Amino acid sequence: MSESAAETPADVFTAKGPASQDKPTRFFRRLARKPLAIAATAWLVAVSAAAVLAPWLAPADPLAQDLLAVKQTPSQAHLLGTDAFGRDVLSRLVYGAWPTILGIAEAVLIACALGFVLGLAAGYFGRWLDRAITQLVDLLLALPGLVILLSILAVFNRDMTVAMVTLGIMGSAGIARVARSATLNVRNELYIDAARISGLGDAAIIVRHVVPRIIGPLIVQLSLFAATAVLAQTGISFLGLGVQPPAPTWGGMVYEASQTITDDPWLLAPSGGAIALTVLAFGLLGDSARDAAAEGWTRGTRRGRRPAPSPRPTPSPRPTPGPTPATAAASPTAVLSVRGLTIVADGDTGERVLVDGMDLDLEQGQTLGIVGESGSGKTLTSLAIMGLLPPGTRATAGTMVLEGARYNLARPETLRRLRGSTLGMIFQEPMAALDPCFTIEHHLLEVLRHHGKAPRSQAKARAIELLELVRIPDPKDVARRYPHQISGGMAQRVGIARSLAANPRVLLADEPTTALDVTVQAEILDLLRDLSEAESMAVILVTHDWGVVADSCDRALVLYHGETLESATVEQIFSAPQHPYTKALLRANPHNAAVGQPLPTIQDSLRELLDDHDKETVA
Amino acid sequence: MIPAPALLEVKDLHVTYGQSRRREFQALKGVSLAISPGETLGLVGESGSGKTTIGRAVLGQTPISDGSIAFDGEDITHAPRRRRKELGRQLQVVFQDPYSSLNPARTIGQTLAEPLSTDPSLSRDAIRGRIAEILRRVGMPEDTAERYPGQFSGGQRQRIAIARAVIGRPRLVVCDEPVSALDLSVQAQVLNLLNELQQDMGLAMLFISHDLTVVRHVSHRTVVLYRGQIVEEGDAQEVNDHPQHPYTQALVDAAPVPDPALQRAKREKRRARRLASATA
Amino acid sequence: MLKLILHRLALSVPLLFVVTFLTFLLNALSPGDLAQTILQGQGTPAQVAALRHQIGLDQPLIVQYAAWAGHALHGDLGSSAYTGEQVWDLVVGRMGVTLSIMVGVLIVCLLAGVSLGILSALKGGAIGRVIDVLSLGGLVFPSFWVALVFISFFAVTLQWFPATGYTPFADDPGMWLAGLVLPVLAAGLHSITSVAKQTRDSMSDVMGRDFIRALRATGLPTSTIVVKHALRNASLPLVTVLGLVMVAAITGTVFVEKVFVLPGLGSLAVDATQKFDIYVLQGVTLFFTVLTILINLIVDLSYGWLNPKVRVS
Repeated sequence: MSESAAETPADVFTAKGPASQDKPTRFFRRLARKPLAIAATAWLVAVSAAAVLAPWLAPADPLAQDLLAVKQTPSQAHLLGTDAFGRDVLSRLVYGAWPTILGIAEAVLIACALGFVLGLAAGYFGRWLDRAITQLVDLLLALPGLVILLSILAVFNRDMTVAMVTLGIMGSAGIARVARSATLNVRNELYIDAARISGLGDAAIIVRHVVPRIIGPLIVQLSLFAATAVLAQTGISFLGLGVQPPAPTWGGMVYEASQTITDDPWLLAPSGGAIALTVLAFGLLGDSARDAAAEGWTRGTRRGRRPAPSPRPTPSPRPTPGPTPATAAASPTAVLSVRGLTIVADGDTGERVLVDGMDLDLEQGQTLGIVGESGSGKTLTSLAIMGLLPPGTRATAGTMVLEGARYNLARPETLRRLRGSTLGMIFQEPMAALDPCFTIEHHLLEVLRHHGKAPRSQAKARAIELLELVRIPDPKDVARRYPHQISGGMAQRVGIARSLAANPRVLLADEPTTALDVTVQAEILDLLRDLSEAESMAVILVTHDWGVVADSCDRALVLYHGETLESATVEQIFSAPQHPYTKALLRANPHNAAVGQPLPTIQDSLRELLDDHDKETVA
Repeated sequence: MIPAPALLEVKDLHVTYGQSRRREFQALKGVSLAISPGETLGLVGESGSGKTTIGRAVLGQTPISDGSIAFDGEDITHAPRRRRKELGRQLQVVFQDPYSSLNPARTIGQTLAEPLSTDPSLSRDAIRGRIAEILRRVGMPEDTAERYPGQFSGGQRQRIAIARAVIGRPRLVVCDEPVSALDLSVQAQVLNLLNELQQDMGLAMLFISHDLTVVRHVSHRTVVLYRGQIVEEGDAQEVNDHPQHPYTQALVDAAPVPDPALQRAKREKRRARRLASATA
Repeated sequence: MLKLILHRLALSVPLLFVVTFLTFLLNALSPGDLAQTILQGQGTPAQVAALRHQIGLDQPLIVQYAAWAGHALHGDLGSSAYTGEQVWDLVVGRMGVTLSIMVGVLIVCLLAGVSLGILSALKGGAIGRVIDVLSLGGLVFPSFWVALVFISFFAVTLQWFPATGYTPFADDPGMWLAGLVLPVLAAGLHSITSVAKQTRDSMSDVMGRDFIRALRATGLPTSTIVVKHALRNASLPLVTVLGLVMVAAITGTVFVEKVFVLPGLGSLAVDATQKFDIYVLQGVTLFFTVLTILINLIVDLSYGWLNPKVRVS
């Protein structure tokens, strides 16, 4: 269970859910709220209207020459000037929009229809169909596009429609690829399985569940393809391979401008500007669509993005009992002491407190458990001690006394030289903590050589020793392997070996066994305990599992929503928990419950405890 | 248990993954088990044991290489799509991940209506009534049907997922690690809900989990799976308290208990066993 | 690894056949006819028939194709319908110009694109915005237009570089280089900025991954983490993008060769299209297809070499 698998604790105390009204709005509605998307759409609509309505909109005949007014700069008579034959540039631009818009429409329609069907079919039905379509798509993507277009133009006598249809077919490969991967993503969602098990047919599943989710990425890709189509269409016209002069086309106008480039460079601006603005409009539309699609993902659908409810529920009516006076000076015997650690997240609505004035003391050679459920701030605490808080969160206060030296936890850069040497850390996902591009030996060697400055051969021998220390069978063989070639349990052993490389005084273990099988967990916990004893190393063990606390810790600190509820020896915590929340949590554990009886839930327990308390206070 | 006619009977099930013969992986190597009506069977194993594969095979989600699956006396090993559709109302599922199992873009009402949509006899109003009824049953507020999954916490989503599973009044529900992604504080509520529904509706359940303690609490019988084979089977309490097979023993020994004294004893036992096996 | 190479090569061969056969098929479908084109519509039916027989147009398509393919394997790609030059010689003779531009684009992408991307990923801020603006420019302005603006500004107004034309390396290396600067920049603007953008994106992506935090927890200096670990991992998606960018650069060279009047394969292809010089066009298409296949092959191999999951399996 990770910190990010956010279970809002509000749910523990109230039957109702968080009152946030984050209704997932439809993709197009989100898109329509973006100013850039509106501007881009407006430009595209304007260009299309100009293309269709050219005879009525254009101020002059695009072909009418006026040799008395050649190469003019913009004036009232000719808003965008005139070209080498005295033709009105604005009129030519308006008339020239038609072939471009037509070409884009043809290419985009073909690409969309073909790509959508191919990608959806490949992603949804999979198997041989997927393999066949993927092969086809790879083949299309491997074609040198423009050169193929040239062949088509040669063969079909410079027919622009055939060229744009061909472009659409080639472009469908990119669309299909995106549609396929988007479909695959949705296809792996469990609600598709649930719908299938419930007896829904493929058509219903595709329409209800798949299509709405792939429209976003599809629009993104289509916009980018449309931009490509503009460039291809105008490029072909520029090369003189499409609509023949003197008929106006945007590409052709760039070509005409190139003929007078030495004495009339202005002529490059209107045609180039029209092309650039149209491409830009498609590009911006694509970007906005990408953002709109991404919002659809993060809006309450992904775990961990949800802000924790701000009013912190206060389950305890009595003042927090327990032996930790908040203002106490650092314990003189402790190897590591933290006082007043406060961690906040910077949000849209200001700072949000995630960990509130936490104190902890870690004695020499002991193991301290930080216990809490998701959202309690237990992982953040360990990261703050390392000075490695994730972006968006920071420590605003807190002092740490480590081996007699004092550190300000609000200034993480001062903690840098402690990392790896005095403080070691291992993580929840052991595999993800290793760089996939380097061998196990390399991982150990670079840390050993950085801290120890030992010669290479000596470091190599030490690396093997470390692997032996963490009980890896056949360490020489494992050293040569890459992370993907070892198991998760093995990876955690490597992580431990690496953190031990510079003999740290304190090891921080952040849910080190949560991702592992229970038999492997037992081995890793045994290993950690033995190492802690052998190297007289103190350990901070972050966990949500009370069994792990009972197994490995000397003391434990119960964290709820950033607040320390109690801190005591493990025996005390289990036999005589002081805080009602701790009591309730322990009672909810199925291990302690009688079979056949309902488990006492937190709500029930707290209600009882509150009732008792009321009676006490009344009496 | 009295040997009643089995609701679900799995016989000598083999499932093999992988396309080429060289890379194939035998997920299940001859598994047989049976569930009586109204019975909860716990299925315990570690990663790679094949426990999830059994659930998928029963639900028709994975091709079966050999063996048979019978539901209520009918062989459904290779049931055609049409028959599977009908079975959808009798055979349901609750998944581990409460986030991925609800479509974020559809209201809870739309999601809950899904299993009922294959029943043409139900009117719109009847469906609405059933949704309100089931939401009340799982302890969700009345306006839930109009809201979206994004507005609910993991525990609440899991209740909704359970509501979807039981709304069509199925006879067997496959629960694939239904509480593994939940905090302890929420886990108890969800386990209680499953137990209550099971008793009220006479549901049979195939309860898949890696956690023997949880399985002991909800199941009548337990089956322990190791590398695609059943190593032990019996009364849930018996298997947990007096495991017979060495693997089950290792599993029970390895699971830490929330009691420092008890856990220390377990740990010492485990260490002694390890040293013994090392010297042997 | 060797297996990977062979596998990729085996996949490329059919592609080559498909592309060349398609151009043949199109030729047969086309409303025009090579014989009529050569005779410029003035021959008698008998003359046309004779010419068709002479160049083999009366044979079944597959026979024609087999004959062409057989010759192509021996380096005989036919000859130009207009000048009578051997297509093979034409292609080989003009190859240098096109490859110079493409290699130039690649070098600039690697030097400027990658370093800009890294800087922007690490420092963000101003450099990031510059890249954004540049890449917008690279996307929205067509290469032929950019080329013209470059000529107008750098060649006509500032006179820093020659406006048009090509000096072979053997004649004057200095002039050769000067003549290539503007074409490479015009053809590569889009490529450079997309590489910069991709570098930035994959660098920021990698910097956010778990193992980077784990490496920082070991106390390694930031420079080691960035240069050795982050860049190495970021290079995986980057290689793919470099391949796509190089294939896209083929389009760029066609346009810039035309604008800068460079005697390369791109301008040859455009001229052949205008004149319906089918054998020349086929030859150039064949060249560019082989080039595309080679680029993709190099990408696959570098990807495999960089990614241990592919290399060690």
